[in-house]
This record gives sequence, C-alpha cells and structure tokens, in this order.
Amino acid sequence: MYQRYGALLSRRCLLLLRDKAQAEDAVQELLAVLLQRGEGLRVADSKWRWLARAADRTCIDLLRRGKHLRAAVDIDDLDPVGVAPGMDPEARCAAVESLQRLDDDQQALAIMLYIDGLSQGEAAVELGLSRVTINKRAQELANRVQPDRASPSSTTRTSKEARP
Amino acid sequence: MTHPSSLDLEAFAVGEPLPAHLVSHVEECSACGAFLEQLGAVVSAGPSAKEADAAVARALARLTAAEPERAAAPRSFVDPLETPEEQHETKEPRKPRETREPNAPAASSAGTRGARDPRRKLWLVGSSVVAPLAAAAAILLLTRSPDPGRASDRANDGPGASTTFKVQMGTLPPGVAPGLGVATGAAEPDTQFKGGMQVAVVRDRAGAQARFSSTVRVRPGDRLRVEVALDHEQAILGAVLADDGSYLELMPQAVRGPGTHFSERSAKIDAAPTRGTILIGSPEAVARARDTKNFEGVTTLRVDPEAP
Repeated sequence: MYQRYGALLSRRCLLLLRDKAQAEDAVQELLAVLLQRGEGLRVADSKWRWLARAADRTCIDLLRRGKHLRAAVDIDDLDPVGVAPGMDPEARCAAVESLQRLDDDQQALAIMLYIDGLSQGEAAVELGLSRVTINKRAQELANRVQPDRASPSSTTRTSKEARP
Repeated sequence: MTHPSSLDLEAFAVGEPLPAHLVSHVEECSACGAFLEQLGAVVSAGPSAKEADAAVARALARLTAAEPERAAAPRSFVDPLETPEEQHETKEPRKPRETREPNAPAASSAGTRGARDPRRKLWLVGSSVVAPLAAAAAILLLTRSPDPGRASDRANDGPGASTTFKVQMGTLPPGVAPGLGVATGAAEPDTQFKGGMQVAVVRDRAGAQARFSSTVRVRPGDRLRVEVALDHEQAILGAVLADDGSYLELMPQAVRGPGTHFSERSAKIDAAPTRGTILIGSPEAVARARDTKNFEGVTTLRVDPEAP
C-alpha cells in the first residue's frame, strides 16, 4: 500500500505543508494512524481519495501545531508536476499559502477546490452540503484566499465550465 | 469538455479506475496525458519495497513510543476520520507551566508577587482549603473497609490498569474460547495486558480443551485455535506454517484493540499431522517469516505430532 501510494502522499503533504521535514513527519504520522485504524480504507470506493483526505487532516493538524516551522517555500520548487489541466496555478499557490489563516470548513473546501480541482458540485457531494451552500462558501473563500482577484468561478472549476 | 479533477487523475495514476465518463476524455486529451505522465514518473520513483518496510517499521516504532502518551489521551486521537477540532483538542501540546523569574528570590517573590498576582492569591487560598479536605477524603477512603463487589471494578479503572489471573496449566478457564464450544458464562472483565503480546494456542480434542503457551502436541482430529492478548492496539496476523511449506491463515490481518482475541478460524489436524509453527505478528513480519523461514520478529508456537 505504501509502495503504491507513498510518493503521491509525500507530494500532497509537501504541497500542503511546504516543508520537507514536516511533510515526512506527516506521512509517518498518517502511516501510524493507518496501522492503528485503517479499517475505513479497506472499504473505501477510492483508496487514494480516502488517503488524501486522511493526509489533509494530518497536515492541517501539523500546520496548527507548527506555525513557526513554516517557511515560505515556492510551491514550484516543491511540486515539479504542477497543477492538473484546467486548474489555476496561482489560485492553488494562494490557497496553499492561506491555509493557516482559514477555519476548518474553509480549509477543507480550499483543498477540494483549489488543490484537488474538484468542481463545486463534486465538493458539495463530498461534504454533504447543497450546491447553494458550497457556492456561497466558495465566494467567501475566494475573498479570503485571493482578495485581489475575481469571484471563485474564475479560479475554480464549475461543473458547467468547458475547457478546449 | 471538462478535465477530470486532479484527485481523479492522481487516483488513475496509481492504478485506480477512472469514472466511466472520463475515460474517453483522458485517452484523447493531450494535457491530461502529459499530466498523467508526470504523475506516473512520481509514482514510479516512489518508495521501494525496502523503503516501504522501513517506513512501516518507523511508524510502528512511533506508535510504540507514543503508547504511554496515547493511553492517557482520549480514543479519538487515533481516528483518521475525526474532525480537525477533535484532533486539535487531543494533539495540542501542553502549554508550559508558568515559571518564576530565574533570579527572583523565592521568599520575597512569595510575599510581594502573591499580593499582586490575583491568580497566585487564589491558588494560595485554594490550596490551604482544598489540600486538607483532599487529605481527609483520602484518609476516609483508606480506612473504609473494602467492598469486595467493587474491588474488581477498581482494578480495571484507568488505561494503565491490569488484571492478573491464574490459569491452571493445561486447562482452559470456562468461557474463554467461544468458537470451540465452551459455554460462555458471566461477562469477562475488561482486561488489559501489559508487556506486549501474549500468545497461546487452545487445543480442542474431542470436546476437551487445553491451552498451551509454547509447544502443542497434536493428533489427528484435533482442532487448534490461537489466543492473542494485546496490551495496545496493533495490526496482527496469525497463521500456521507447516514444515512442508503449507500455510493456513487462522487470524486474518486486522487491527485489533487491547484485550484478548481468538482466531476467527481454527486448524483441523488431518490424518497425517506434520510439524509446524504458529506465527503471530505484524502482517509484514509474518509474511517475511513465511518467505524466509526466519522467525525473528514474530511470536511463535511449535506444533508437533504426538508420538503414536
């Protein structure tokens, strides 16, 4: 399992924490949690999605505990793969940099919209909220993540958005 | 057309299936193809089997090291799906205790700062009232005659509590192996063992059960079931490996909590019993022991056929 998912988990943790040592720590912590309570993983529809969310929580928790350790490392240096097609790299960068300033709900939504590239509809399904609520929260989030930029629809995918 | 999310593409890159409606897109979209190639390179440069083993070992060591701390913490600490607030509550490092200025003389600081600092004043007043009351309560508790009905409850209080019970060698306490046809009596106490993993094997011979903790001698028709006592939660696997290489899993790989666990399956000894070894340990260690026949890192019990 770790052989298969370890590299992407490390990439994700590095992206969220922007600190190599902390990212390694997060992966270790996640692995320890999995060894203790990995039952959910076995029945998950997508193991990667399950692991990614578990990694998110681990990283967010580490962010809270280690504010002083967080150095402003350029995301391009940390993630040579870059963003997936259809996503805005600047928005992702802004979201990662603002993660610490967001509350829990906003952190989860920011990761889904700006880092995972989910549409608002997909985020609504995953969070169990209505599209209207997600749309409202996404707008608030956009104001916090990128106050100098336009509405979230310009930086995150919507289900209707068409790409060439 | 809409590109799949990064999360979907990452899942695809590690070999998970894409949703049906995205498959044709990914096959045709050059941007998605390029992104998948880059992800594929990251995945293929991932940890080797050896590195993965080392990482798992480090995580296990981390668990072991964190055990005393975890025992004192609420159970929600280890739930990967817990809310961040819950994690925050349990993982927040303790604030350092307020300390006195290093150069301040103790006597003068008690006199002057005590008057100025309202919290200190409250502490002084509180301690002068609460401490005698607590002492009186302790004396009352100690001098009271023990209530036998509650003694066992107290023994099981707290995460570090342990219960010791004697088991007569070769016989099984009633109700201890539910899968072997023993009547289950009163509810067992919530017992926590200390000192790692304790393993025994219960042999059922025509309804008569016996428990062994080192070597068990078997004859055709016997059934064996493994009993494992854990002092903390861990992933374990139990199996019997015959000397001729045949392998039977008795206790499938699972994370099990503190307490006593019996194997879900039992091994029935056939007409021509062979020698073998029961292996209990982490799934990785058992797999390694099975492959290499080196039983370091696993707990073993020997199975030998009885002389005819």
